[in-house]
Amino acid sequence: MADIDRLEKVDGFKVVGTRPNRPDGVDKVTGRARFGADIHAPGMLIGKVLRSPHPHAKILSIDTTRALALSGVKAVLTSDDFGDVPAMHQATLHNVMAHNKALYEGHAIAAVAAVDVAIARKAIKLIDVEYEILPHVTDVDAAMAEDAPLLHEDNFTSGIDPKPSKPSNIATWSEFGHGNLDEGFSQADIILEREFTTEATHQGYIEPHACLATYSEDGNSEIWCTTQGHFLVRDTCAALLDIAVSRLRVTASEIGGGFGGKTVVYLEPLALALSRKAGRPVKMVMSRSEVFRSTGPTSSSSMRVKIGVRKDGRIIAADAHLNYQSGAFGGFIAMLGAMCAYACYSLENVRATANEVLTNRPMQASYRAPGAPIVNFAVESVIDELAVELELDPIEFRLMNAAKEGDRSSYGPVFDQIGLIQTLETARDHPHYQATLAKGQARGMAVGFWFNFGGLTSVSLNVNFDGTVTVSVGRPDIGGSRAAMCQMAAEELGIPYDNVRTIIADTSSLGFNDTTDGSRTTFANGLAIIRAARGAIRDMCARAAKTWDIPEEAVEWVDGCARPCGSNAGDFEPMCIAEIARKSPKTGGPIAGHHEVNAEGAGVSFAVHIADVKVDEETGRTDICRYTVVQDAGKAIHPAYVEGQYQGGAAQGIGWALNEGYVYGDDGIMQNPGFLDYRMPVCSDLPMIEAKIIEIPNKGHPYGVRGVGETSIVPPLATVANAICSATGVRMTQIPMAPPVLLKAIEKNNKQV
Amino acid sequence: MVKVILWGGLRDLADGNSEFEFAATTIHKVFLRLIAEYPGLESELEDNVSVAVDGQIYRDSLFVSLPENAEVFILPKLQGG
Repeated sequence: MADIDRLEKVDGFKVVGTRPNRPDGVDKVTGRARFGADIHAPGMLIGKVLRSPHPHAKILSIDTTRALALSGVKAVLTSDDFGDVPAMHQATLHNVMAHNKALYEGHAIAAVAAVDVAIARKAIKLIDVEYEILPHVTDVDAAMAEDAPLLHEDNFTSGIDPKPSKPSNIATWSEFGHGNLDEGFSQADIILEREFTTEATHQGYIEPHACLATYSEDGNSEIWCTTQGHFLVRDTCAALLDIAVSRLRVTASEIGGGFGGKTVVYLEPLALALSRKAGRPVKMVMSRSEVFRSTGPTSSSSMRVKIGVRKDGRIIAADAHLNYQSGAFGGFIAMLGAMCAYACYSLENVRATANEVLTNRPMQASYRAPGAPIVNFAVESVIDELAVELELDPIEFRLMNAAKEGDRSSYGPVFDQIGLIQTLETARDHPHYQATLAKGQARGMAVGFWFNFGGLTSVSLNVNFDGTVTVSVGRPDIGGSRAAMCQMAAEELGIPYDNVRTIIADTSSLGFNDTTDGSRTTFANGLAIIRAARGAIRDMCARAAKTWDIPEEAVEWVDGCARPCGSNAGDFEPMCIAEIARKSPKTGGPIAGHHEVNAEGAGVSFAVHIADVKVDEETGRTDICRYTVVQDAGKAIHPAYVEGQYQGGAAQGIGWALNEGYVYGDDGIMQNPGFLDYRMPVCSDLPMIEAKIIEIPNKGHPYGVRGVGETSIVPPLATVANAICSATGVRMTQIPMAPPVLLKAIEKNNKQV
Repeated sequence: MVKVILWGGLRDLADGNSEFEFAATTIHKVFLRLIAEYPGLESELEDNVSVAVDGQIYRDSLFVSLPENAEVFILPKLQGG
């Protein structure tokens, strides 16, 4: 068979690169699509959670007698219902249900299952909990103080040597870099050192957490839930409830946003445990307040950044220290922030250090490029200030110092092929950057970096008897990935897009798939689908060869048909996929392809954002007048959905920059757990965000695909801050730059001037 | 020969050393060699690292072939959102 195992395709695409309608579109706009809460089961109970009203308290006793006695209550759950779990799952278990201590306001204390929601709500009020209230801490810097209340008496900071002799709230210390900072700074003509703070933001998905769990008397169980990774839900719940993985089948519903926040379990193990106790299906749905108070926001932070440059514009040394608040349990976000801090720059002397700090807040969860936007705000603000000091164009200054292939990255390895310089040059030459500013407006820009991932992937591709194709994948579709999957299968098979349907299969239908996160889905699923399609093509060519009685090597696959090739192949009419499929029962049985892989080679990516803003100096309100994203996609399979990712990341980043943020009172209680007081941007807050796709093929993917989902949220915080500085002369060092905060800074600046 | 570099967080588990040069043809063999010399690295290498080979990052691929003179940089496990 000719050339079937070719790995790369860089041009001549027929389906890839087009913009067909998404397969799930009609169901979503008509309301037919079934999300987490849109499912019911016979005999279904409703589960509700009793949550801690205190940010930090010992649980002295829980008396469930009165709740259990209430008519209609079928089960009550506390931490006593869970046994020991492997160490890797302990924090998850203690987060889904408090053990001994409530560690934040909203921490789950107990749960009930009742015949309806009214009884369930009444029942949780009948659970008597005796607390001993403890001092609390929600601020990242206060949590590191010597006399701060300790969340975990057994927490000794990891990552430093020697191991500390006293426990603290610093969970982990990490450090990255190379070169000699002292030497570097001694050669600098200008050194700027600045401090920054950012507040925690929520991922803000519109659909709250929801699930339906059914535990059967025969030991088999099922969960339907909204999640970014149903295989993760399966394996975690199986571990927490000590049941065999094969006994639990998890189906992912349609998902109304996740952005990293649905990469952990909250309700699912509770619903399954309640179902096991009650012997009936249990459905649970969070309120918006519960989502804010109990599920993973990203970190708040305090940071110090110090950068030295020579007069010729060369950055000679760069240092950063980050303190990221990671909620009641340790995480990894500060470490990722430290890795990303200076990744855009070619530096000989660089260091980034980070503390992961425990506080009485919800356990932090990933949020789109976790950790990167926070530190990027600090670093890109100082870079911008340096460009002003040096009287250099901000893009030219970044180009002079941009990381390129062969440079040692600030996080360690040397870069292989990367496209930062091309991205910066495209931004510089973009009509937006070249446009004259409208009166009263000012411009800012920033660059950003993110890693992107691949991971464990298992897909199946079935050729139906009519020649249409069904593809089964194991990652929930959040941003239109089913369309891209159909396109890649259609491209490879040489058939129309409409002849391919992609479904998200349940956990019993495929091998393990990593979660839809890390910008991996189009990259990793796509890679596997292409190889699965090639397997099916190989089989179809072999069947045609047998039919024609010629060697398999004398058959090629062109435009959806097998055809003889070569001088000795003979003269046969092409045999197309529908004919081969129709005859398949007599030529060897069903035709399918599948592929299982740990997809590596995702390739890092960079983005440049440009913003024009207008600041009302009487109110402190900032309007985004024009906004452009320039980013490398490797190869845009479905350009409209790539643009959508760019626009979505920018919109979320703008919200983070200008308004979003957790507000805590002195009592440690979140003051704004609703969309009225937690101000996310809506359509009327934003202009049409322009998206410029650059395509520098990623050599790790047959079509050159690179992840696009996360990088676009990295630059907006700094982009908007830099634009505001251009507009007002005020260098903001805290996020969000909400109108009252900005107004105060403008007034302070005016007094100084 | 390949050049192996540990990120700062692993240095203490390798008696303060972070750079090595030895012969190895796969990531797996790099790990075995490091663990033989520094047993304290075992659990970290088992669960908590990614590996960059000449800049290409691998999260979980033990049997990647290493080119002669490759740089093998051992990083923390990476995770996205």
